[in-house]
Amino acid sequence: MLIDGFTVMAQIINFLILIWLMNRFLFKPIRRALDQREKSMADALNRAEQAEKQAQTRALELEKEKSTLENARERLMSEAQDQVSRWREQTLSAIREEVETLRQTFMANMTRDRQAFLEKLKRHLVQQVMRIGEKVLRDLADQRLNRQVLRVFLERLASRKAGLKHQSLNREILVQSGIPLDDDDTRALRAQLGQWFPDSSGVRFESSPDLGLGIQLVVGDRKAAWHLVDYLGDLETEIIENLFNDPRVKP
Amino acid sequence: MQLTPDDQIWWQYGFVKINSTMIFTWAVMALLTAGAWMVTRRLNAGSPISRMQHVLEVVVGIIEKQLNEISPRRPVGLLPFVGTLFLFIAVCNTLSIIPGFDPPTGSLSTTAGLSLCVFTAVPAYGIGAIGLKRYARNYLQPTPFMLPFNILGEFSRTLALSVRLFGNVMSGTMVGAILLIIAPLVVPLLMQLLGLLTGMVQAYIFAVLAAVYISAGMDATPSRGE
Repeated sequence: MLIDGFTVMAQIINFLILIWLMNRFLFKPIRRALDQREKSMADALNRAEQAEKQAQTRALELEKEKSTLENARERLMSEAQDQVSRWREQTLSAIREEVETLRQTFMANMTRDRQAFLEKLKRHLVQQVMRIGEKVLRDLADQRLNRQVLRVFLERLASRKAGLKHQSLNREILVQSGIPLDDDDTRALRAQLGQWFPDSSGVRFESSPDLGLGIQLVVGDRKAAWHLVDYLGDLETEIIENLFNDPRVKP
Repeated sequence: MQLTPDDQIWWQYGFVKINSTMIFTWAVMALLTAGAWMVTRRLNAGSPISRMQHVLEVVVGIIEKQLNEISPRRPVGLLPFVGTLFLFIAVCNTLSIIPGFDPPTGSLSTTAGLSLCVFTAVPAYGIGAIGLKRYARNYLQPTPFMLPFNILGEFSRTLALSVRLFGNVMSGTMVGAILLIIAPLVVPLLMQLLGLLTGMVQAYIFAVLAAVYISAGMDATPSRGE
């Protein structure tokens, strides 16, 4: 007989017992371990996801901060560039003004120096011309020139005789001459002085080479003179005044 | 020649007896229980885990995956039932290569007992899942005239389960014994290897068919109102 009822029952019981044993020692523990591992893995995954989310959030925050900093940097750079540009413009303007001031000062100084130099040069030229003229007149002086000097002296004295007249009362009239006077000149001069100053006590002639080409009359504390140096000095002054007042010769 | 280890009786008192089928069954039970206890007494939920724990986790994981594919609405307790079926049959068939070991699955009494367990489990899980009325209505599908055939089908598939496993294991053992007499050198070894493969396939078929029967019993036929 291939099948035995008692054995069948026994095997059924054995199998039920084996189910219980396997469930007790195999499936439950393994299932529990798998569940715990899955739970721990799920927890780890959750933690990783949380960490990833936090990292993403942090990354976004950092990105925002970076963007903010970038904007601030650009704004600061723009402001700095504007400030630098303004400072540069101001500095350039100040430097231009300073350079212009210096240039104007330099030009004014240069103009003044040139004018001064030209004035000095003109004066020097005029003085040289006058000296040369004086020297030429001295060297070329003769009796006719002396008489001409004497004539000019008398003309000048005639215009001032009124102011000298009351000084001549009972006083000696001194005639100092830098030019040689001959007898005719002396006589004519004495006669003319006696006519103009009749109250004087007399006329005395004195040679005075220091006067150069000139003659001088001394009455008391008053003097009346004409000599070439003064004449040329007046002429020089007049020439210089006319020279500098002439707009055509302005520097 | 013994066709079944039931015939080798070690102790008998009346109808109560202890034969090789029971003894080898107890041996397999002891081996499975001891192995499971040895491994699971020091389970580690974290890492690292032992190799044997890893092997058992893989085995349990594969059985669960198969059950999930067969029965998405897997009820509580199906894993121990189907898993124990598979492990018991697989270990019995694997140990058949040991000389002197008669696999209990080579006994029609054992396969009939296992088939009766499946036969009982199908309505038990079905009624538990969808209720007695809806489960009973399945036997009237597609028409009430099919009731006898459906009932007959339940018995026939149970019989087929038991006889298929018994036939394969018994035939493998018998062919091995015969080849050992005819050509004792290399051919029996190849047949033993083939028997190992056949035994694993039969364990897989038995467990999968049991799961399919139980899952089919839990599928409620839509009522007219639904």
